[in-house]
Amino acid sequence: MTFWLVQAFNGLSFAMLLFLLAAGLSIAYGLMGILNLAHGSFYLLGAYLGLTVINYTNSFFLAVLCAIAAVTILGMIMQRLFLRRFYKNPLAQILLTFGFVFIIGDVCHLLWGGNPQVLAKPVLFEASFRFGSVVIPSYRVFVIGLGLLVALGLWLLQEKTSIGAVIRAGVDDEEMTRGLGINTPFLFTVVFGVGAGLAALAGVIGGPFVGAYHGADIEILLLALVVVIIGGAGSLKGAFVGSLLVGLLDNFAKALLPEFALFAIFGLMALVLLVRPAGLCGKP
Amino acid sequence: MTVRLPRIAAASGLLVVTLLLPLVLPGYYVDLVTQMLIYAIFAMSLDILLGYTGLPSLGHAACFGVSAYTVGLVSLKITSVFWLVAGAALGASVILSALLGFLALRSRGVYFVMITLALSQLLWGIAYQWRSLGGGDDGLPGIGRPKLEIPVSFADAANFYYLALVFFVLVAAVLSVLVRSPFGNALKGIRESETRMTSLGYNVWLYKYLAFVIAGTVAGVAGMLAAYYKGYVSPADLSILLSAKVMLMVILGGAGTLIGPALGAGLIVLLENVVSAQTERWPLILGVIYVSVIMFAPLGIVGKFRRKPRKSADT
Amino acid sequence: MNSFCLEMREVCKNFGGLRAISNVDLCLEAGERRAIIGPNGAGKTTLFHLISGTLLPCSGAIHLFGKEVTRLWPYHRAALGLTRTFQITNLFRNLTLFENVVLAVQALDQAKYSMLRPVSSYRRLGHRAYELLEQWGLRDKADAPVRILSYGEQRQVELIMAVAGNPQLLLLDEPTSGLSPAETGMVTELIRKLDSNITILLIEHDMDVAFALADRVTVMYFGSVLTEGSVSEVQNDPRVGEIYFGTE
Repeated sequence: MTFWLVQAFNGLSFAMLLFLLAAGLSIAYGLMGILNLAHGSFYLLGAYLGLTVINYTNSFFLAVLCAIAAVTILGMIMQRLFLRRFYKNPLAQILLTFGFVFIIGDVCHLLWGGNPQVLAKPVLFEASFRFGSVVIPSYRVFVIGLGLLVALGLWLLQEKTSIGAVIRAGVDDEEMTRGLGINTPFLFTVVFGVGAGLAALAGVIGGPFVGAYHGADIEILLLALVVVIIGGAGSLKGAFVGSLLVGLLDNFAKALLPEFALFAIFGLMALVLLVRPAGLCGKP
Repeated sequence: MTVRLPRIAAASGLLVVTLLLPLVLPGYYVDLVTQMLIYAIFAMSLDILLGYTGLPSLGHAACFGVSAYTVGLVSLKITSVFWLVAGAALGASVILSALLGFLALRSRGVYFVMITLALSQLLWGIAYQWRSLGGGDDGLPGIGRPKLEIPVSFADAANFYYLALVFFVLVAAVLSVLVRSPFGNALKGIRESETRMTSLGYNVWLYKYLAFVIAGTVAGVAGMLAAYYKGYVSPADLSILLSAKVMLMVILGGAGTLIGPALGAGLIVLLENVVSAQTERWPLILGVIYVSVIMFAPLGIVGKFRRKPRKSADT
Repeated sequence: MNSFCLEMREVCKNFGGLRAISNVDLCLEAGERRAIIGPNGAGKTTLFHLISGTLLPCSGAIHLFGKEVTRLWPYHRAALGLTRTFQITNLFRNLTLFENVVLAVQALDQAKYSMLRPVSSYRRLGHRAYELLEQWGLRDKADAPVRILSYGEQRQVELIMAVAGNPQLLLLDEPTSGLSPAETGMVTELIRKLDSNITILLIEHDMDVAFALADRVTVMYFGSVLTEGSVSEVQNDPRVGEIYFGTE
């Protein structure tokens, strides 16, 4: 019983990390039709930047802020200078981000080395909750809470605000939205930047338990892609549902059958592709 | 017939050069050219998918790597008879590409790209995690060179070079005929407009599927040779870096031409060898080349595959 | 024994809450030339998609040449003898004119899956392609990439591709859309001169073209058939004027 509870919590907190990544990835795809493969790189960069800031200032909060700010700006620059030129050519944009995966990944390797590093938890959340024999780190609870908060915030933004309406309109019909006078290129840059920022946030808050290491960008990208495929690209709800499924499955599988954890994920993805190729919440 | 004479002369010259190569160059360079041949096969296989059918697979390392692993597993644990090992490796490629193609072709456009990447990354991850079978991070070392009935040692660089050359010529010949055949013609039509092809009466899905399986099988040929050449396999043979490299070979060389990707392969192999000798920053350089080629390449990917916005009927 | 080339019975198509096509009955006799007209949003193109198989109806039945095809894949229907053109030119832009036509010719040929012989070795394909290009006066442009042809020439190529396989039923989706008056006249003539054995169903916004080419006209309005009849019957029907221009 203890085991299942603890694993469930771990799985949920990991799921929230995945959600932060998948949400940005999914919305960028839905809005601009591009697949930003550098998302995992933004995650890793955020983690490393957070690490450095913590090492200098001992403030987790500051680390989060700096990481988000820096990566958001980087993301916006990347979109503005490189991706925007290929507005009508999704494949070229995907390949460009592909190139950036290696550039950012290697720069990180150069600057921070290849050894795995773990971020220190913020002092506020160092304690654990104890319920009888069950020990749950309060940090995990924080991550789950933060993830849910962001999910709620994104949902509210999408459904209840005019910005959200504009984005939804853009996803539905970009030309029309532009025809209505909305500055879609600027919108794209902003949305892309926000996605990057979310990835960086995930990197920093994931730092204490996932860690930052050479190759983490690729590993987390894979899971984020699987989430988007299972949940359905372009759908926030899909990103949420997908993250829960993948996060929990990955965690339980790693705990029970470590050698076959990815088989389980593969199986789930294959099943979804066979039955609903557009994803569980995707538009067919 | 005078028009054909320069062509025949050039072809003969090329033939002589390739046959005499090992006699002139030291072992290191023969090895380098062998690598070029192996990756040329790999790149040509991706060209069938990307250049001719218009299916950009970001996970083409999957069939390459699985074939390589099959060579490792079979030759180390079951038998080292070349034909059996090669047969198993190619069989694995066919089966894997049949399965992956079926899953990936449930979708089109960017979704397809995403799925090919996810599938090959999953395989890479499985290779890492399944230590008991594949050796995990360390892979499977100690694969000997092929042993055939003939009294020739393929541990010798020159002999293995000729083996690779034979495979290269075979693959190049078969693929050249394929792309000029009615089937190959139809692939080009699909690249240009799937809706048109459907309305003309073509079963577009079937063509794409066959192209996927053929490309995967040929990639398996390359993977098999690579396993023998290196003497070991590791998850790197399934990695995203490898998928990126082979795609760059195709784009750099010129997608849709077969010979372009073969040349692109030679160039990238050469570059990697030169760069890796000087610095550890090959991935960074690869990324920069990627971005540069796409930003500045004249025809390349930007011109040849002018995709319409994803809302159009074609994507 | 059914003599209808195309038979649609009580066909409906909904998109979510929108009734795009409601209870449409349409019957074409072999060799007939029928025009479908109606204001924007009447469902004409949706109807085409249902006939060609790009969309599936929610209810109702569609028969082609006596066979039920309601849920058949588009490429199957092509094999039965159905072919169509597109409103937005949809050619193989980076291939030459000759290659475009060969693909159309090859589509219903046994050789289309052949992998081990070059296309050029199948002489019948090339011959038929050149024959068609000769007929349409484009033989000299055979090796030009299609994207450099003029818009009017491209519309011609659309027609060539559609008739290359000797179809029995041809769907023409606004064949003169975007053409100059001179080009419109030329394309109208070309359509008129098509083999009289081919049944033609065409959507047209240009009423002059529609009335010039058709034997009978079907008028659609908000997804239903408003009326159907000979050209003069429809021209004189006051309701038709109403749906286009409103009542006075």
